[in-house]
Amino acid sequence: MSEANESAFDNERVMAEIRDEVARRRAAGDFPPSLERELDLAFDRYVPAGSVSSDFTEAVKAADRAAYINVAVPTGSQKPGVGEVKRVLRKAMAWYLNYLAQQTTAFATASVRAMRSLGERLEMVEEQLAELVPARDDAADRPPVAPDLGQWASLCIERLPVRGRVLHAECGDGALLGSLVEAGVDAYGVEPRGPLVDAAATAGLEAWPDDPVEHLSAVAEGYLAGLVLSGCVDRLALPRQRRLIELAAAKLAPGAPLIVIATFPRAWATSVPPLEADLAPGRPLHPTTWSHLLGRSRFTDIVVQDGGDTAAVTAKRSG
Amino acid sequence: MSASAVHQVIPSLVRWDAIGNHSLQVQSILREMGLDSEIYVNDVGPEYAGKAHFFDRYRSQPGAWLMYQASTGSRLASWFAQRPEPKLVNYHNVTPPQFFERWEPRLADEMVDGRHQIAKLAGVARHGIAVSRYNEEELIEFGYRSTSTSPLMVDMSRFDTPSDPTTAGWLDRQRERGGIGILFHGRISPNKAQHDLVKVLVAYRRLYDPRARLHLTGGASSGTYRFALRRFIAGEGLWDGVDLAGPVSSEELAAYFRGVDVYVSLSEHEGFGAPLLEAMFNGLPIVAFASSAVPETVGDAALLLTDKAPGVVAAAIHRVVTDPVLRASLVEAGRRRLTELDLSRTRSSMRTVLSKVLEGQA
Repeated sequence: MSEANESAFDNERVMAEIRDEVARRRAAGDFPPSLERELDLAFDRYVPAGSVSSDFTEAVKAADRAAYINVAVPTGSQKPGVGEVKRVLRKAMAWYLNYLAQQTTAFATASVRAMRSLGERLEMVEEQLAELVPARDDAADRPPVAPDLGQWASLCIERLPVRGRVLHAECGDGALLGSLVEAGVDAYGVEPRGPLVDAAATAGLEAWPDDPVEHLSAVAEGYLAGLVLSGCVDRLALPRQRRLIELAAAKLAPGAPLIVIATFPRAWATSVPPLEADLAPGRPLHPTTWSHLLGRSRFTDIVVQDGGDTAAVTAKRSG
Repeated sequence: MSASAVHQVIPSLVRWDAIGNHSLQVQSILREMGLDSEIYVNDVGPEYAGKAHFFDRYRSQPGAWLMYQASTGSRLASWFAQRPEPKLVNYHNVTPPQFFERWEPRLADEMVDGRHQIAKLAGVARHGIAVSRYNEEELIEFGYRSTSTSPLMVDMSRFDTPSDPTTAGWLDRQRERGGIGILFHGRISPNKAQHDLVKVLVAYRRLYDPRARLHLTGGASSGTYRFALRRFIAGEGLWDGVDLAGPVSSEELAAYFRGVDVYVSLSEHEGFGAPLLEAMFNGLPIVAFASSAVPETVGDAALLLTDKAPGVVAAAIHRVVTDPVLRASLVEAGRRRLTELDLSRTRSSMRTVLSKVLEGQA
């Protein structure tokens, strides 16, 4: 060992102490192994779709290719005479090897067939399950057209506090978000469409590529000092719209304002691009319906402001 | 010596690129040896416009050798293979395609092509020079019969850049709020495994410090992976804890290296790992997953992990930032390692290798 290495720390010893510390913390329940597995699964959700199913297809194909057992054992040899011995042995044992190979091949072929059949049935179950689960909108299907929310900027600035975090979901290209930040509101946004998030981020805004419902699920209870909902409220299926209200009530601090910028159903079909309208899992609710639903949840001071094609429903999270 | 010139062939010569800087050092060594040496490229950044020629301008000259700087798939490799001159390959590693198959199938195909090209050159190159022993082993696997290792030549003086005041101020304010700062610099890329660093942050915040922050600097090699990473960060509620800084200038990068507490690399594949040297230069302790060429590059100047479980990595980071003796030991080991990889030594190593090869002794 060189002089330099003699003064260095002992990596093995330090790592052994670290592993002991981890074992102790795990035993105390501070960081269960299940959490590490959950983290792995959480990231796997974002791995591009298709790779798992194509892996399955490829695996079945590979099993199919390997299912046939070839009894024609190679008999060649560089050593004189050995090849001849191998050929004789192969011929002598052919009856036995053929018998075993036929059964093994039959078993492997039947197994592959069973796997295929299982794969098909699993696919059917997945399709049926998809019909039971509320449809989720696919950001990739929606054109990245930013909504014009400019008429509601002054209302939002007036209602939202300057202290505490305020979320705008969905924030589009960040036009309204930019106005809020400029007015001193500590606001950030989420938006599932990549090009729009990138536009907001390029403008120097804190915008995250995420689904509003999933994002709100991850936020701590009572964390938000204000919440602006737009876009998603017009498009989500009814069960997810209800879920959105539940989450808003849970994640807003007592007394914090909620602003729902909703498109009137009569205007929706003409104001959004046809592709978005046709592929949307749900339809917008009338502002009066939002008032009703918010009133049944933990919101008070509900006011509807008509703005032509859109309306702003403002409310306060009860204390 | 039979050679009168050694010209280099490089797919791309752009600013801030470690391989580009290495190639300029090779050129300077060759010229010191009294040889004519030019650089021929397929792509050149504006800042190097006067230092390189497009490869189609190359003209044969008696006694000339060609040296290919290999780090990616390129049409230049085929052009290089067909030239009649004696050839050398300087290998920096091509990322194995399996890291990109799920994320960027087209890029993965390019990597397959790149590795095939390097392997094909084994048949025509007289010698392969690798920047790490790990890379040299790959050259041997590719079928190169004559190989050697000479480390990447990094001019450490370029790390001695003043910090960008805006970035430094922002990092200071973050520090004042409490919580440690963790840094990793490298392209956002599946093989660099930034998603594992995010998992570690979750573990660290839960186990030790709920205000810890992770800074990820560097542009993206894979847009799909970057998008997934951002969604993962948002999904874990870490939008206030992870700073996806993107590409940064050398001044901004200097501010990051000086404004955090620890450098952590969980990369699964590095042909050398130049940012590790910059961490050492700035006196940052390093925690690193012992993959590919990383152990070779850091020597004993990092707490090396053989396990990437988030709990284990978090505990290792905590130990490094809270144990002043260990921290000082790592920083001191980093200084020693930098001396070993000092530019004068790495230039001398490259000069020795080149002399032997050109004189027919290697």
